[in-house]
Amino acid sequence: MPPTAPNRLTWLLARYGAPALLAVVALFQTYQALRHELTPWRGGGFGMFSTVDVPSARFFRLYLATDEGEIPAPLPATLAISFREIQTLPTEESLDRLARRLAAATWAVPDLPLVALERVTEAPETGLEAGRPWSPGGEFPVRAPLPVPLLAGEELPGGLTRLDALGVRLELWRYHFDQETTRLEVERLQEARATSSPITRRETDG
Amino acid sequence: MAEAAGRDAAGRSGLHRLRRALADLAAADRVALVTAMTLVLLLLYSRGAWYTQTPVAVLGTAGLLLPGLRRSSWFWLGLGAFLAAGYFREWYAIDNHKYLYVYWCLALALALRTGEPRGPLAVSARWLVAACFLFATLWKILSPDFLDGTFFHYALLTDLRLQWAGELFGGLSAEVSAANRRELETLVGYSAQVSPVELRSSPAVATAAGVMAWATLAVEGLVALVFAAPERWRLARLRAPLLLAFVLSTYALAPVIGFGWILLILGLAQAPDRGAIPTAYAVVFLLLPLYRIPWHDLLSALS
Repeated sequence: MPPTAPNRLTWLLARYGAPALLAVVALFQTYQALRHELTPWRGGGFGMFSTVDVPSARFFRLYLATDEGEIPAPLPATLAISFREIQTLPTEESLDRLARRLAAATWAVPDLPLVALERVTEAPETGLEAGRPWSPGGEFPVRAPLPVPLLAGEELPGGLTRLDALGVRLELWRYHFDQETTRLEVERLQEARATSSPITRRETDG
Repeated sequence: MAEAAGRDAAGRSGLHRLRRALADLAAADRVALVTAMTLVLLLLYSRGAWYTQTPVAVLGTAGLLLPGLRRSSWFWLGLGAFLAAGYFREWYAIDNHKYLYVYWCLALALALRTGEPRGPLAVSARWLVAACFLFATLWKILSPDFLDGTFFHYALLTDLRLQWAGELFGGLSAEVSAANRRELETLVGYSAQVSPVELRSSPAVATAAGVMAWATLAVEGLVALVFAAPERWRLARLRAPLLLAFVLSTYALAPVIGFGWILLILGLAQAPDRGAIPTAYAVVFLLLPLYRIPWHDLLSALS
């Protein structure tokens, strides 16, 4: 039996407050997913198990620009949260911001000859072929002579040489599954570039 | 002979006592029961960072030890607020059922502000289930790669949890499943080049995927429908059978026990006071964690 006026709000909230909140959040999630590339799996819209477009279907490629050409680089584990946020809801601003942070990082390489990307494309056996998969928060598969990021204030370990990167190029890719060909097809969603400014480069050098 | 008859009688008596205990449990003060079950759920499956885990551990344990606390609206509001704040910080990684935890804490807080929380809780629980399944159904219709079976085809080929289904329904070997996962890892793993990869499949996998897609859509859509249907409609009688069928089948494939438990708690909260239905919810709640046992691996090791 509906209550009298003074208790009506309490009566309504007690019954429909929580379901109404669910509906509001889910509608907002649906809008974000349809308009802004939010993965349907996240955000409270109950879109899990509805699409291949899970956050891990969105993956990154990072390249350092050097005088010798572009060098592929692993994703620093210290920025794993930022990478996961972008996998879930990529925006140009967030990718740009992350690229700038990567450009400001200090990179080092093992004391081995560097192999530029162009040569890798031609000759995969040179040692830059795919490593183990990187997963946010997990270990990243560094294989010599890949560059490694150094933590802020971390001293250069022995056997490594500081890499003077001119900048970075960060790509966000997504795969989808083609049932007819049973192939995982890929598309590049976004790309961001950032240069290591002279100030940044001096700081990292020092 | 007399000894065997005695053992049979003792066994029957034990079974009878178990059935009686389960019936008593389901018929007990429903608000007390669902609040206790919710605390067990949150203690075991809320997870999250320390700023979520710590308050949940303290408040959850206190609530279990002090039944009076579980009757406090402020207790549930506080617990829900800690969960919401913690999950908000990790929004990019939070699964959808964690949202349900927060909504359910809010529903408990709001219902306990009334003098008679049983009725409002039942209404809240019913509409939470209906809305959750409505949006799940909506997404499966909106998604460009669900209805044609693409999603389940991909999942059967690459998801370790569904490997047994791929082997059973699609005739894939364990080696093929492992090779597919390696292909996927190569694609998303660190590499100098990005190029498409081909997964190994079979026509049977595609057929099974199509059947799974439509069966999932049908069950989830029906759950939404029967929970939204008014009590007086005959459809409403299907709530328990359909929700239990969903939980028993879905979490056998993907054992997300926390999700299954919150659905069972919501189902129990809106179920009749007596009869087989609340007992069934309680029994499935108790047994659902058994799905975490890697049955397929154990059976494979034995055979």
